[in-house]
Amino acid sequence: MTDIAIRGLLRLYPRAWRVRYGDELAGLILQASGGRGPSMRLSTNVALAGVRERLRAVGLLGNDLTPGDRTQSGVLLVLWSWMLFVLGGIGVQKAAEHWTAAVPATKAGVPEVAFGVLVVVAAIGSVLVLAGIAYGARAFAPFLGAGGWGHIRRPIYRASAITALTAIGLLTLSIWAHHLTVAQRNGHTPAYSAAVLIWALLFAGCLFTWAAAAVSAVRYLNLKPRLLTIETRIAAAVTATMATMTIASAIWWAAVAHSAPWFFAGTPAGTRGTVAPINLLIPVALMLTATLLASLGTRRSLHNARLMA
Amino acid sequence: MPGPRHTTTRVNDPPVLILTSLASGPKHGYALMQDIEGFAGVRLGPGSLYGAISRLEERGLIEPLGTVSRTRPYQLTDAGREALEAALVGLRTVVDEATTRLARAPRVALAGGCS
Repeated sequence: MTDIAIRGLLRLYPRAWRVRYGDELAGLILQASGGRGPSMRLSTNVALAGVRERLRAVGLLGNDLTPGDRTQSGVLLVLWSWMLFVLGGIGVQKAAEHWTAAVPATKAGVPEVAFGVLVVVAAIGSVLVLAGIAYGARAFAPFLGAGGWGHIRRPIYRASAITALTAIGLLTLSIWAHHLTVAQRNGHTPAYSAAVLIWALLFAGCLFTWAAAAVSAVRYLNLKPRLLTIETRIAAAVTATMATMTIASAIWWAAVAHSAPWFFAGTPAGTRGTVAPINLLIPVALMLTATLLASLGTRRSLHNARLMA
Repeated sequence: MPGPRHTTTRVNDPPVLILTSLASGPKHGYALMQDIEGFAGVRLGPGSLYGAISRLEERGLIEPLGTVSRTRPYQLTDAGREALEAALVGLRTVVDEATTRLARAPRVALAGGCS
């Protein structure tokens, strides 16, 4: 049991670090815990140090890598954060379906503006992310020309396979949905709800495998300082759109909770119920977390982009 | 390790504590933990200790002795000795300054607020 616990803790460290120091650290954990197995405090210390080593290894902590690599890591963290944000955004969009029908016309001003801002800024953010990817892709041609495909084909095959599954799933769900009533589509058919959940997980997998493919590809590229500087600016703009959307979502939520609290509980107009349903709490928490992570990435890349010059 | 003029070294920085411990001779991880707790009253966790050890080794300030084993000792290099001396100069500057200021400042003024 002790060995399994220690091996589990060591898994949190980067492979190269583990190969060099893993045995020594395992021995020290055993000695420090008197052979009884790591305590909660000791485990937390080792686990946090492992996470720190991983962040160092990818350039998100410390100054071990070059300023260029650190700038790139910051930009990639913004890309990962955007993927997380998209998941949250889809959740908010789903939770907000038909909200205009629930809010009295006289009180719809603030939530309408907030939701409008959310939609417009989401479009701007998407365009910025695509522009960042397209601009960065210019560095791919020489890499592929030099036989780089062999290094990146596996993550790209994986992402392509999940994308194909997601597309097939969407098509199947759409055909199925055509044969269901609105009530059946909204939770009254357990099999359909389970299928939607599985599809949502596939979609999340699709986003993250493409992000992982992009990250693994970028690691092989030698990005020029000018390109990195522009990517840093795009990442900062994307982070700003994420912050704006998170604030707009919070304003929309508060305004609807104030004028039509029954909307969130799904109860008839005029009744009271929860204004913080789990299907809205989780997506907004994801958006907030993603915005915070993107802010850290932007701060890291902006700081190091200055050192690069 | 930064020089004395712009030092950010703190007395309880794991790298400083490890270098100080190794100044009296080579030690393995557990011996380092116990020694540091003994002279500084700081109990470094295994993760913090090995994080600092890996950083110090990368910078050439310490080096491992003998073959790979679970209780591999480390020793100070010449660069590590110089780095520790530089860190001590920085710390001593702060200690001296604090001592001088405390000696000059009458107790009443300290209690009376800012000047």
